[in-house]
Amino acid sequence: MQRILLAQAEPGMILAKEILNPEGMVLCGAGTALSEPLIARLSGLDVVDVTVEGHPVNIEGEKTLQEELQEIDLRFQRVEDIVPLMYLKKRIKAKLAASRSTV
Amino acid sequence: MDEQKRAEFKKVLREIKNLPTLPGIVAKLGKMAENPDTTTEQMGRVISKDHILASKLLKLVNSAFYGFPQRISSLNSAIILLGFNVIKSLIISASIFEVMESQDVELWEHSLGCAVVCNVLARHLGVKDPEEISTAGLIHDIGKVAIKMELPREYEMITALSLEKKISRLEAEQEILGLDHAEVGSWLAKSWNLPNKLVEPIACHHEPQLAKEEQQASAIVHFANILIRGLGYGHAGDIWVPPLNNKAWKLLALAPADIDPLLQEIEEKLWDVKGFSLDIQTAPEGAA
Amino acid sequence: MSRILIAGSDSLILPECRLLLDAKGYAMKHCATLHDALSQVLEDPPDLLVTEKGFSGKNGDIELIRAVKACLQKANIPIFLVVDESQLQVELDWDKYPVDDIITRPFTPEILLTRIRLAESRMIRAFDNNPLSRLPGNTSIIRAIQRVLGEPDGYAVCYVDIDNFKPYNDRYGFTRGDEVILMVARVMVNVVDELARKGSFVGHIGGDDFVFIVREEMVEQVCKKILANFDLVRNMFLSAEDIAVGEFVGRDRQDRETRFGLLSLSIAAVTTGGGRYTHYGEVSSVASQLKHCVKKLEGSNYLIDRRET
Repeated sequence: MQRILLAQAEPGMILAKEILNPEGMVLCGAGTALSEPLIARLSGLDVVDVTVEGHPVNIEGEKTLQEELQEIDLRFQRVEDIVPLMYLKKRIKAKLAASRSTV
Repeated sequence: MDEQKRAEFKKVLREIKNLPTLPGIVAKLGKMAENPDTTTEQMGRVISKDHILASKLLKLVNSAFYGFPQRISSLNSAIILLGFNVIKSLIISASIFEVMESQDVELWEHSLGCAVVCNVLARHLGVKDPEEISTAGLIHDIGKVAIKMELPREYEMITALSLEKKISRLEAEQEILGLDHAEVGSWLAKSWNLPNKLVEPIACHHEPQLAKEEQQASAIVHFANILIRGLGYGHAGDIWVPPLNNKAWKLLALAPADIDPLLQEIEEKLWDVKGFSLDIQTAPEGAA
Repeated sequence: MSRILIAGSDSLILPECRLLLDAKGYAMKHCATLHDALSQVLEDPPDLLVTEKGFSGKNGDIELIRAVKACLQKANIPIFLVVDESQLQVELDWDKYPVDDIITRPFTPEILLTRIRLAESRMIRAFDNNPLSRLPGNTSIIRAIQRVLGEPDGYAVCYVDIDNFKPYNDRYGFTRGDEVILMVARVMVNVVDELARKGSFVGHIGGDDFVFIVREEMVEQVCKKILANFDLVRNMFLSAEDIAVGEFVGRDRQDRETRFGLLSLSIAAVTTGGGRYTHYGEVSSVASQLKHCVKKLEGSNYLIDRRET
């Protein structure tokens, strides 16, 4: 998932996390698909940022998935003989790949 | 390592001339906490005289790394729910944490992340005092800051050596100074009268098997440090994920099936602390 | 924990050790072969197993330990492994030897006794803590009460419970209910720690029932403080509208619509000085009667029973 400014949100993106108002009441549940009218309404309610599924917005300077995965491998290079850490690495990479896939 | 040189470095680090002194209120609170007649209200009054400190404390207590599901809105409630000793540690840690932010923002980020993971792990393991462990996670690398401020030349040499030989910062520190940031951190924590619950995990975060009384807390901080570095969150001075101590791992008794849900929870909490800063002047955190 | 199985050679437990353990009330059974030891474990499980590295030829020790740990009922039996210091030169694989403690030869009877006592205490601590609050549970509570009954100084055994807890749970849900329980536990622990730590004890019977013990002279102060602190934080767990109205409507045990007051605490305190009671059952019985009265009172209240013998 990716946290982005409401200004970057576009129709078709799906909310990964619910949006709450300052009192803690749910404005929009997780899983809601964003539409033009909804985005406008949220803007009117002063919502600043939202968390959406996948990774639809490319941020300058952000690395590609490939680069990130390579970095993870490099980080864990000195502990390749430690089994639980290799498992951890595997799961971290899997999670990263899953979150970057645009559903 | 030249014994004399090591002794010199040790002396400089023990004296910490360049780290800002803790606010006077800390010593006062320390005495109050030790006095059995002190009441919650008295403590609350002393703290609230310093508005900024009071807001920082509340902000810290309500942050994702302490994770009270309800918002604690008053200082007295915080003292009632956490007890004076935890509050005292929090005040000291808030000051230390601020110094970190001004000195080394990437290390600060790493420490923030470590505190979040400590919190998630501590709650998962059902420990009695998750807040103290999170606080230890928050300040476990204070030794690095002390070295940077007191021995800036050696600090640069350590960075260079670590890059050149592709070794961990800890190993480079041992080579150049004959001591390491965990040791230094524990001296500082002791000098600030932090309880053993915090001192031991700081001293043993790379060697948790050496912990005597706080074995579980040390194991948690040790693994949290590894995990947050595995995630690449913040920068702790070198890129290497440190080795996992077997005894600590056994103590944590985590199963492979626990890893994914933990990673999920950690990710969510890390989002929640984005934009966290104790500097009250910064803009408020984003909505939701 | 009184029955010890010794699986090893005759010299494993020396006569002076046996004498001491015997005197302390431990019953020992000795088996020299793996076959005998396994039969014992299966037919009549002991409370504690002491074995030695190298028992009964190759891998006998591992087999025995595995047999004990494999069976769920027996997995809680503590196992002590006796080793020679020289055997520790080679790091033991603790996965193969999942024992609870090791003792190096030679050892004195006192060391063996200490280790056994510690293992007993550990067992109680590990299994007795309440899973939510992590406070000690019933077994520890009973022991704590018995302990103070045996002391010359007066103590107060205080039973705390949350009024209208079931309707609260119904209205706010069980997760919130758990948070309230945790909050009450924190408030109690912090007050007792700050005001009356010496000789004190805080335990969690289960659900919304707690017990704390403090010195008799501190009981009023502690009760007052707990109730005051509870009042300060209680609103964190209630909705603004309920706080404004001061009560809420729910259904009672007979499913009738009733008005319920907001969260409050009731404390029933029984003082124990002067050898008034000898058995914890007497204390809880008096507390029950007291609780009945104090719960009838609206809001948070405490009642102290100071009856004379």
